Amino acid sequence: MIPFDFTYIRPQSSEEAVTAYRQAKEAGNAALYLSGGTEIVTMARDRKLTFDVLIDLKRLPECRGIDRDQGEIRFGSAVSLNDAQKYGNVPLLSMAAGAVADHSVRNSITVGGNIAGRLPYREAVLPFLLFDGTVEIAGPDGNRNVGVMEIFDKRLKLSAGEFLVALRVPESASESTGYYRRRQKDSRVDYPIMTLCMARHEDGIRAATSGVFGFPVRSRRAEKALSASGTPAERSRNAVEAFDGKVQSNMRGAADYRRALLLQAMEDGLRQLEG
Amino acid sequence: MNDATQSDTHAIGKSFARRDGPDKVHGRTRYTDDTSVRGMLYAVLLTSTHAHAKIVSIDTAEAEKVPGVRGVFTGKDFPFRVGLYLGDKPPLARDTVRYFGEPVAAVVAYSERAAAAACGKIKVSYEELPVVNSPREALARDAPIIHPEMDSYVHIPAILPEPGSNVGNRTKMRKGDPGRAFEEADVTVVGEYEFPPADHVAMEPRIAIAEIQADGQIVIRSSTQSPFGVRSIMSNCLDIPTGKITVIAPVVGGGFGGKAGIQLEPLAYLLSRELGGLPVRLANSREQDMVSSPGAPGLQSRVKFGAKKDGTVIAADIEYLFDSGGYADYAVNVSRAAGYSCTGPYNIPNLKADSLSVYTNHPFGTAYRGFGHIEMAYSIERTMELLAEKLGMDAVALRMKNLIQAGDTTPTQDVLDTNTGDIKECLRRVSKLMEWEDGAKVQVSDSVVRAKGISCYWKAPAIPTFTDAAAIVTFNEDGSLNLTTGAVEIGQGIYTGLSQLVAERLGMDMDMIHVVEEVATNRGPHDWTTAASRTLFMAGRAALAAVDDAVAQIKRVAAAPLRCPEEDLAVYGGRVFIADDPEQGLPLSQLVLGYVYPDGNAVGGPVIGRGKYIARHLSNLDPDTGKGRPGLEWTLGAEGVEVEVDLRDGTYRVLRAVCAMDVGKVINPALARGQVVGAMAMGIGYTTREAFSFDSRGRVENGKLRDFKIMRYGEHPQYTVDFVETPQGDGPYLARGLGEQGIVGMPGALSAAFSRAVGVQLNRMPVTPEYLWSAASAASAGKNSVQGGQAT
Amino acid sequence: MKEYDGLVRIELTLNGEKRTAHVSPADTLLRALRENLGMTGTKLGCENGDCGACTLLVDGKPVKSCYTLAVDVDDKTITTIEGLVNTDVQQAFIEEYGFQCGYCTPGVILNAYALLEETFEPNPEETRTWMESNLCRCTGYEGIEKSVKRAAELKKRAER
Repeated sequence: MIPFDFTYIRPQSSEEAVTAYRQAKEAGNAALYLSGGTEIVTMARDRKLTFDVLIDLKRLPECRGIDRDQGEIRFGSAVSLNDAQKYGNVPLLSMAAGAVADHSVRNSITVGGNIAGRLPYREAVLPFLLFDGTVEIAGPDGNRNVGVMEIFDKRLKLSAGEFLVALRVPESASESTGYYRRRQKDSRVDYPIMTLCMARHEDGIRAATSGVFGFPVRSRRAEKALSASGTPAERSRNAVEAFDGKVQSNMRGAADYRRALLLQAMEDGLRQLEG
Repeated sequence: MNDATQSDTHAIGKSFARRDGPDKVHGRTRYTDDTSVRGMLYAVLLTSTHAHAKIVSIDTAEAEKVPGVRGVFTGKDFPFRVGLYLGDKPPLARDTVRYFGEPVAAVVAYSERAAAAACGKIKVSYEELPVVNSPREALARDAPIIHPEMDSYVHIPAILPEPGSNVGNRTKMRKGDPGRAFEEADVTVVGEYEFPPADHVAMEPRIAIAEIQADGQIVIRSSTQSPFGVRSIMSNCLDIPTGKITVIAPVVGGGFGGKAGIQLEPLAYLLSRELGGLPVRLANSREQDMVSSPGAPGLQSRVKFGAKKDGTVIAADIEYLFDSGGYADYAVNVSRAAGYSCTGPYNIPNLKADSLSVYTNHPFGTAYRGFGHIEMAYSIERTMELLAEKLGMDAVALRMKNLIQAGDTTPTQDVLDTNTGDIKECLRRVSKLMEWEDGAKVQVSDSVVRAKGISCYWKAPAIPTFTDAAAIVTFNEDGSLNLTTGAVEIGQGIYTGLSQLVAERLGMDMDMIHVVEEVATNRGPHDWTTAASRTLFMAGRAALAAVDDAVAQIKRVAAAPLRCPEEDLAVYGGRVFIADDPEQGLPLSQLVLGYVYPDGNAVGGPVIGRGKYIARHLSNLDPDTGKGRPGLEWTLGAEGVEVEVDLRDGTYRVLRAVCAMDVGKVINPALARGQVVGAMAMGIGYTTREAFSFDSRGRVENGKLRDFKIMRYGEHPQYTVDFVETPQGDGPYLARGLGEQGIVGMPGALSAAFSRAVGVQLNRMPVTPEYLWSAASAASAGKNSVQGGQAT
Repeated sequence: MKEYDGLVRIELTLNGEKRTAHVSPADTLLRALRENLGMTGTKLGCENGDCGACTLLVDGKPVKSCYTLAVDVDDKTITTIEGLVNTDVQQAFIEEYGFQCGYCTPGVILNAYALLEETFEPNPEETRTWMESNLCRCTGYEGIEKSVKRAAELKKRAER
């Protein structure tokens, strides 16, 4: 059980949400935006996270729904991972969203919560990184749209009071089958020790990974290596070295195992994408 | 006494639906936390963040000020030590914490939130002490002594702690002349094995609600397998008359040994006592249930076999070092059980074995399904595989050569009687079901292999020599019957099993038999503990005895109105009647509460059937040789698994799991199968993923279900279960215990299959994909080296 | 804009009825059901979203009530195990021995019920995806697998 009390606020618009956040701060209270809430509640239990005010974004109309809009597919941040998984038009998002936690929990975890929450894996962001998606952000200084690759560095670099309203990918993402593989320590209901999304694009092979380096990352240097000439094995080896990050080693998996898994996945991915 | 020779039975051998089904599928079953006692206070524990440390100070001032808090307590308040066999554990840590997660303080408040909030305000200051991370480290010279006051601990005579060391108990088995036999052996193999402590993960966390009435009567409701055990341990350790303690065990959401013995009850009682006897609820969070309350012990072991060229094992030299963690609890008996079963189900005439329970700074271990036999079986089966490899002999053939039979002696020099199961038949069946003759390894593709592994196992209940059970039968106006025993329903379906036994004896319909679904030590007869796979055996024998006693009373009352000798009467199908003239009889409903003559005279009174059973011929073990008879009955069997492994990344699937076990008469085939399948599943998890992981300071890193994984739906194999029915002459309708045994052979069979798959003998658990990948990579690197590899 | 602070009165649509509860925003739905509404069929197994013993249905979807705030569902329809009486799923779990200790059972049954409401005759992979959300320590999942299959058969028969 959560061992402390807090205030729960249900705004009906982004403006109300942002205002509530500002008012909490002005009163010297710690405020958090609540999306799915699965992490918040479980972390609050053992005081890994404490707060005075929770602001629930789930019912904001602008945060809901999956729509096609001006050549893009728009996912509201409150869309559940199951709904994202079921939406078949971005296969890599279906795969990435459909592997997080378990099916029941995916009714509660939202795309926004997975990407902007506390856990470092954020696998739902991988397709948005891969396809150069954009994010819609609301905040005290108004709304803004930014490219995911611009604002994402290990996590979304949001300023205080800002929250994720929606994510967009170009419709062309639908045409890309892509390649996906995820590995865990053992059970598939677990955090990843290696997730890889790859896609073939007119500018070459694209790749984004989570689990291996401790955060999701898409590396243009690695993509250059993957798109170069050479055998899949050679290109994969160069690509893995090109990532900017240290391969993680912890109780879920040692670094050499994760590296081997990433290498194998990239090799297999290249073979599959190149036919 | 037992009429199971007739093939056409009324209730035995039939898969009746479980009696507790309707309540369980409707969520109506009340587990301990589903009944609240009005006015109960809530206790929340604060636990240690260190594996080994002195408690320098505990500042509770801020915690006490939290609104709603009735009291904050630490080890200073409770200068007692509690233990089943060795009194070594204070209910809250005093001066020293000995494992990560050890409870150091308890807050009692009007609400759970207030208690939890107050816990967050307690400030503990520790001085870290060097951490002992394994049994071998604990036994090394100059190892920190975890229990320096061991010589002052009270213990039962059968347990032999060694003050000045970290040894909580040492069990020795000495049989024959192993020194000479090793000299005569044609081959020897030695293997060293290890695995860390783990957890039961029963779905219902532990909970106890204690209150003290104004007259001093203590009433405890607890999710326990041992209501009578709780009572007697508390009586001994806290110096309270036994009759002043009542323990109530409602239906339990899984135990697996973790709820046997003594758990949260003493602390719940002490907290209630501090608060004038008000009811106090003490419930574990899942994390506390896994780490603060005891789990499965770990093991480091070494087994050496000496054998003849033809595979006959003639000598064994065995060392089992159990990681009992910070406290002894049941582990001192687990190590003892591993000692007396130490060879596995093999006839090894010359034997030297030492089985130790060793203190470390890990979370402590208790009874866990298999109770020493699972740890022993893993070590022995791995060594059999090493021997098979060295001799170039088939794994099944090697075991056939050595399997124990009636007339052979066990490690304790006890002769196996005619009630011994036919383990060779079990192995034959497993071999056939696994298509062993078709080959144990096949390459499916470039990197994927399928491999099989088999093992043999045995287990007897590890019980005190005076283990008992009892039963009371009373009747209702409609002639239906109430059965009260001390058996707790922990998932095994005991109430259904007992009903079937009673129904069989009386020829009654199951719905005329009402089993009391709660054990209250002041309302029902004594029973040792619901554990050790002996409950249907012993409570079953007691229930049948109670029925026979009731029948004798019914006949005595019926003889007069039916005007015949008692011995001419039979009781069956709800009637008492003249056996050779069945028309002449009376319905039981007219007799069981007394018989009333037409003129109004009444005779008889309520029939109360009393039955009891005590284990036969069990004896203490000689402290030097281990000679004695510890086992009520041995259940033997064989298991096999088939796995498919991708050697490239170590990912695998367990395709099938097969078990053939000699269980005597199967009372309810569906329930028996369910027990074995559940046990096999637990064994698969135990082998592949259930293991605590520790950081460099002995702190548990995976003490949550998010990080400590058990098997999930979809990961389960195809299960095959086959029962051999060699009669257990003293069992109820010739049945033998089977609740645990399905787990015992799994680590050996699975490790053998995995080892075969990767071509390397894997002597550690858990066997994870990373471990398989690492072994497979090393094996293929070895193959490519100048020396070449050694394939299995 | 709604603001819940301190002890608040919420109205839940629970098993087809309107029920009132007084809760703190920090109370999970699991706790509110068990402690404020006396509905003990939903079980506490881990309070961390891992075991599924607390599973119930929110607007027909399986949700773990241990990480759901009670104040967050006052505009939703909730079904707990108490809301299912003699359904095909429950009948199947009895016939096929889908339980032993019974502690995981309410969560398993609600999840299976929701699966079968959504998918006619789910294939093994679909069943796995849904049912792996619930841990069971007793049955090794064989009884559960058989029960879900049987429940699908019973439903099919009933719907003819």
